[in-house]
Amino acid sequence: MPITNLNRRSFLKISAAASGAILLGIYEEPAAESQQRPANPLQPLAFVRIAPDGAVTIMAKNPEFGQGPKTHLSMLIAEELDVDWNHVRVEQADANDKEFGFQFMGGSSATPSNWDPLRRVGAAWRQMLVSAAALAWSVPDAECTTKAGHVIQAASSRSASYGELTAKAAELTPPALSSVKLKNPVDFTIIGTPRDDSRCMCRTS
Amino acid sequence: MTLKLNINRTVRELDAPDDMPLLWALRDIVGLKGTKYGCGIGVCGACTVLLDGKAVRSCTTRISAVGAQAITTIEGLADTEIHPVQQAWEEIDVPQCGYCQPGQILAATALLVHNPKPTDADIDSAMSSNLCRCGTYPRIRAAIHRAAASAAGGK
Repeated sequence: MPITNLNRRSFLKISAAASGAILLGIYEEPAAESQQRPANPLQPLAFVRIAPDGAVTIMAKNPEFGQGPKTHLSMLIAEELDVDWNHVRVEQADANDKEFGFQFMGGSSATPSNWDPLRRVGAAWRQMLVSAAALAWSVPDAECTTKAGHVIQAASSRSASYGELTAKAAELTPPALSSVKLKNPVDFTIIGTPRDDSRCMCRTS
Repeated sequence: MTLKLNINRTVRELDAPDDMPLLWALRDIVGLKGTKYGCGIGVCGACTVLLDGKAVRSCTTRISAVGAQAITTIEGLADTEIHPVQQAWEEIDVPQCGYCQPGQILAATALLVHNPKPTDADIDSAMSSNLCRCGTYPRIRAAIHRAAASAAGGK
């Protein structure tokens, strides 16, 4: 049998052309559902755990069927949270749409539909850590910046790790997700880098 | 019955029925979970391991048929930290879901041993019975070419 060198995306396009009705049905369903049911507001605290030693755990909200959402949805949070990706542990979230919003796979929708909301989750957490440090140092939030898991006040050369701040930050009320400040994409250091679970898939698991 | 198996350069003594599939012994007795159960009837390739360097289906190989042949699984493929085929796989970022990839990597390793410079047609012919539901075939082919080039000294 001749083997045609077809990549997955072209295969899907050709399949869609050949049997449009069936695939269209599958593709439309999630979108239609999301229009009918209003999404629950995401709960930033549910997505991220920061241990006192600074270890960061991010919950992967969507089911992982191999296309990589466990990595890249977590990257959206980690990027805005401003942590070292090498120190992030990703855990599969339980089904709980009250905290995590819609949890489904299909239609290449994971990144487009989560791009903005999950970045805001990370940014909200970051803002709480900044506020915790600013409170401790009695300085305005605006004087504090973050880098790789630390809040820094340049003027006084003060710095505190997220681990030191996590307990205090978790007591604060999360800011409205619509109000948080997002990074300029030119400053991204995590989003856009390759997924890193290939390593274990090629070696042992 | 008790028998000895040479698994990843270590001889292990196992107490198991002699008709137990090698896959069962590897996963459930020895605890090496890299080798995957796919179809159970030797047609999908997810359970591929090497016996003396040759790719075999461990789900349809009885442990009593292995004898003194050296068994290599994904966990023991690399003598050092990483085998050139695994290296190529990671560089090309071949896996999507990853389930079939240990079998793919071992099948590719066996191919390169007897055909260090395979053509596209050689690769398709040798690899066509290792199935990948995600459809990573173009990247598998690219990774095999890369591993071949790297073994030939180019990099």
